[in-house]
Amino acid sequence: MLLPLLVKSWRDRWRGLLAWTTGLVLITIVELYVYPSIRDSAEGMSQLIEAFPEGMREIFPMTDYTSGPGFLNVEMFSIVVPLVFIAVGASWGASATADEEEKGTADLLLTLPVSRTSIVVTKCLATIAVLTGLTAVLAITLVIGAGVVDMDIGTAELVAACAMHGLLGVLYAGIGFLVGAATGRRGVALGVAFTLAIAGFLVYSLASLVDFFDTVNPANPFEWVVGSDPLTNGLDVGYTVGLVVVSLLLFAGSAIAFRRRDIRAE
Amino acid sequence: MAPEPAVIELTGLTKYYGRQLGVEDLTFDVSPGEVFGFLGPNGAGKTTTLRMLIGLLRITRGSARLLGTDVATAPPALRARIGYLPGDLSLYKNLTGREYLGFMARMRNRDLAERIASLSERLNLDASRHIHDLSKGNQQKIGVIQAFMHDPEVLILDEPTSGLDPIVQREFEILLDEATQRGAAVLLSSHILSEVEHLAGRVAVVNEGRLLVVERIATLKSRSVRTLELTFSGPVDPAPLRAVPSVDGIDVHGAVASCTVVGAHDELLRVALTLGLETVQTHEPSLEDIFMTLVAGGGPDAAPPAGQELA
Repeated sequence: MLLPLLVKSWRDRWRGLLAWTTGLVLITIVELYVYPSIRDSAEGMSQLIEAFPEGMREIFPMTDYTSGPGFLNVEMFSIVVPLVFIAVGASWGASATADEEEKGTADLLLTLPVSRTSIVVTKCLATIAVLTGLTAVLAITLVIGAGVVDMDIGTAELVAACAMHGLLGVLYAGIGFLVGAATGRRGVALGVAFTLAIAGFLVYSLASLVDFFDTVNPANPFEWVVGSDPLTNGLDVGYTVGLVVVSLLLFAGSAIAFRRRDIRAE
Repeated sequence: MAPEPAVIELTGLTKYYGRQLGVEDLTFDVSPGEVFGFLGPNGAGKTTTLRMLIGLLRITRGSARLLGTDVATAPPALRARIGYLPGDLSLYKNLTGREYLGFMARMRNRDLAERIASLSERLNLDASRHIHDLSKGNQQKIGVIQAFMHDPEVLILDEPTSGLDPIVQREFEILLDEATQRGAAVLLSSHILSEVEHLAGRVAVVNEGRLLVVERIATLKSRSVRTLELTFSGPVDPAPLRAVPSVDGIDVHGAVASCTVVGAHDELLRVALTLGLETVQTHEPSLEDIFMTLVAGGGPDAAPPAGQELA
């Protein structure tokens, strides 16, 4: 691990990170602020939900919208939270080596007496640390906020959900990292990571409607994280291990790909 | 005197990008304390070669050794003893010069603050300014400093003087001198002969990825085609001049004869004196002239034996 590079990675991107963190915290606060009025109008809500078409209800499970876990699942943990974690993870991963290559700064970074593997490891750690921080901020906001609005939800479940979504971000960071390290192109890496994220979301959402999606869904990280419903069921150890293992494989693959890369002058 | 072991050794060094040729079969050595020029037009493969040496590109065939270690299998620690200046410099523009150089020093696990300060002063660099506010010439100074600051034993410099003003160029030459004084080997590429000729003793000339010749610059120049403009006291008869063997072509306008000459000029001048020579103007051969000579002569194999000596 290369401490100067780790510090530099954070320093270079703290503004963007601050924006994402602030946004996520604000969304959380707003959602928690409106929750009591949703809870108090439970009856009207269930009538409203029944009025939704069948297909909509399949995609967004709104049956227990007025309960704490149900509300947070619909409002935050089915789209907003995965989106933020994947956006931050994929962009950090895609930029890690590809940005240095495209800007040409890799020319001097890679001629220092440090191995390419240590550069990849450092940039992985920088990304994981950032996602960990974002996870912690979200978890703390939710735990405190849920207490304030007296939401009926367990702290362990809240932390588990944040942790699993954080790992989802790490996994997509790994995808961005791997493609960036193998191609040297940040745009390609971002494109692949986001395409896979959208694909994962669609497969998960439409699995109950499309047979093929239902077949492949067990291998879908969205199913592992969103489908296992950690807000209700707590941490799914098997899926969590799965997220960690796949992420590690992606990062290891990144190191192998980057070691082999020709860093060409444009 | 026993020959010193070479610090930079290329043996049949070859690079293909897929099927596209980068460079093919480059072989030459650079000794400690030597400044070795690497000449060729843009696109000849100079940058490709230097990038293989520093480990940015993988070697397709052949080998390159720095300080006795094969670069293909060398540990990263080898690069602690190497300084590199890329041809197309790209720095972290959000940092100041001092922050950038400090970062590079920390990544080398060295405390070079004093050395950075003194080099910045010598090169007249304002290290407190952000790099995105610096001109290309000032950025190049940062590139030069990061290549020299850790006193490397090998310097690999890709077009180092591009963008430097003459005063800074002078300081750069002093830095080079200091490096070679302590035994560093320098490989310096350029596409401009005049840039290299007062720095380097020997040069390798490459064209289209292939080595044309490895030679002392002086020898190369003396063998090269050059143009002599002879002015006579009156209209001159070209026939005796044309008869001189070293004269390749001649163009006479009244009292002025432009002669294209290969090799030594003595016989031409002797003949010219008998015809009433008044003044001689000679143009230094450019890299283009040398190329034309080498390419026309079919490269090193066709060179006369006297010019074959490689050291």
